[in-house]
Amino acid sequence: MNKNDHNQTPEPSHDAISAEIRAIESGLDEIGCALRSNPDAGFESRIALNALRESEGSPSLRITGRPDVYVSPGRGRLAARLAAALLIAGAGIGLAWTWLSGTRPAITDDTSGIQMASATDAEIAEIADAWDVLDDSELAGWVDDVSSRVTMVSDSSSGAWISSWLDEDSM
Amino acid sequence: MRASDGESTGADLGALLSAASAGDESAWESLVRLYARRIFALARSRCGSDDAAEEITQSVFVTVATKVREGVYTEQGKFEAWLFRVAMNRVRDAIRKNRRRKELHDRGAEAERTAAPNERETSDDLAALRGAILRLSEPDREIIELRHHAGMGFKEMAELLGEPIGTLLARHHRALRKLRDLLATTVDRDLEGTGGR
Repeated sequence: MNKNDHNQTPEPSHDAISAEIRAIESGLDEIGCALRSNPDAGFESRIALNALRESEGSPSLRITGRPDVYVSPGRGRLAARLAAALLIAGAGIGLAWTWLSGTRPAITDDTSGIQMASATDAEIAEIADAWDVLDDSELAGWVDDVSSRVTMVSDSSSGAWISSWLDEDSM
Repeated sequence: MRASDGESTGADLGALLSAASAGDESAWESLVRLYARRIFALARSRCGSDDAAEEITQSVFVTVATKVREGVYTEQGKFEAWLFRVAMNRVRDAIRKNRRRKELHDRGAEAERTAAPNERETSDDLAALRGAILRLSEPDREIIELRHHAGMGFKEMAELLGEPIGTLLARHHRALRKLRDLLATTVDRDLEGTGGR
């Protein structure tokens, strides 16, 4: 065997290349077919209805109408607990502010304020633990997705969609 | 078979457009049914997200509904090219906005890998092909996606892109050869990775 043989890939024949390219074309068509069958059965009706509504100036139903846009129960509970913790923390800060500004409220004579602060710390620590478990990239993606959708809706309503790369009125 | 094959003839399409512009909702739905999935496929392929693809599809049809009803668009046998021109503009707008936030191109690639269930069932070959498409240059990728994902014919692509059919055929063939080369490189790398030379 020539010592250079293993470094040289033999050139495939024209027929072999044509066959490979045909196979690639067929694979591409298959991917296209899969992409076109992605949307659910109500896709067309949703698009038709929402596009008509929006073109008539009525608000679109697209965000609430899509079945896969929802807040998971876990996230919902987390948000509710976070809101509760912020409420309690806010009350604690208000109490502290009142104390520091010299108008000591009567309730500071008992330990309820201290108990409340302790409960807040525990609550925040618990939420912080839960927050650490969250997948940051997923959350960031979700936030990004929402902001992107808001931008698109806002742009759509302000007419910026018509800013074109290709002239849309020429055909 | 192309997705555009077997669709309405020009006369049918003209009648559908007239009826839709006159407020016939069933004509409008037929129009959406003819093209919505093809626009979705193009947008999904470029943006990598079902939600973004649906938003884009909807915004395309908002434009169509508005312009057809206002009489801005007059059918001259180029409806498909015009429709996909609007779609391409929406897709480009979305990509431009996504790039502003930097990570979305990667998200597109990631979404390609974590595609919808029916896509996950595709073979390794198709997964490799999907990966190779992402590595194509922008013009090559555009022509592949218009042809195979949006299911456009070369005549409509020529009208859309304003290039002669011969040029598009050559561009398409070149893009296919690049895909072939990219796939061959991937196979070579895999063989090296497994020590199977």
